[in-house]
Amino acid sequence: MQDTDLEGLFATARAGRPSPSAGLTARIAADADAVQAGFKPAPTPAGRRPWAGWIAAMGGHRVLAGLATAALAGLWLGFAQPAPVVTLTLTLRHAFAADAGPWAIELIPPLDAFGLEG
Amino acid sequence: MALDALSDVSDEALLVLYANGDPWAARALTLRLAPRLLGFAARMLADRTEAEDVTQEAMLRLWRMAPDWRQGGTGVSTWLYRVASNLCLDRLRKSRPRGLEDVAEPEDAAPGVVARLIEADRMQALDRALAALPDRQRQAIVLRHIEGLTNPEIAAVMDIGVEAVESLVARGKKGLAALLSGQRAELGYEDGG
Repeated sequence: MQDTDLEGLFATARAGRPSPSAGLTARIAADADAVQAGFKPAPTPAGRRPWAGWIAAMGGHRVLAGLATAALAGLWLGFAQPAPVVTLTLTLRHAFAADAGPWAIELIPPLDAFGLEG
Repeated sequence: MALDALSDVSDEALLVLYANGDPWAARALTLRLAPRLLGFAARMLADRTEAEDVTQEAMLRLWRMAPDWRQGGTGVSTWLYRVASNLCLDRLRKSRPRGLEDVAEPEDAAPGVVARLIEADRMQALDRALAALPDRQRQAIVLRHIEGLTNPEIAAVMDIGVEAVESLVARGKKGLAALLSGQRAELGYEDGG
């Protein structure tokens, strides 16, 4: 048996490659479909975060963080006890209630006091 | 994406499409790769039914591996040949030693057509000679001379060096020539070598 004879046999074998039967092709396709059905769909940016578009429209995460901070600060100012203002009001009320000359607080001094001065 | 539109897409790209849910990618890969796997397994096992089982199992492993496929490494066909080779060798190890008489007769010899008869006889003789070779030599011969893989590709499939592939192919061809040398006239070859 010569090399050329062997090459001829190999060439015939290459040309006569068997074709998969319809049954085998169907089984392979069924396997492929079954395996593919088990794959999780590849997440897209929009699919993974439905609110991603809204965040982008608002200006991004940093802008939203600033807005949230401002909102919380407003709530705090609205509900927090205004203790320094109350303290000042009570002090002034006690001062006016005391009818004692030397302790009177003159918020607006009378003009004649300036006239007496030489 | 329709099947026709996938004809120019590489195996690797088809596998990625399959992993991403494309319904046609698996069909395209099957049409492209299953005949090669079946031919290889049939030559290795000399049994059509077992060859079909190996082909289905190898393709199933490909589907399961698809989401983890990394492009740039071993090609899809090389990977599949490696899987099919291992499946064939496993079956050969588990089965009883196969004698020349175990090789199946041709299913259809196209009666009345002498050329087809001669061709069928030659393929039967080749299959018998291949079955008589050691498994690794048969694997290397089939991959190199029938499936048309390059020596580096065969080295990747068999997980050996290129020089080892060359040695296996050379010894395999020498063994085939010796096994077929007494059948030249019977197979329709003219005298002269």
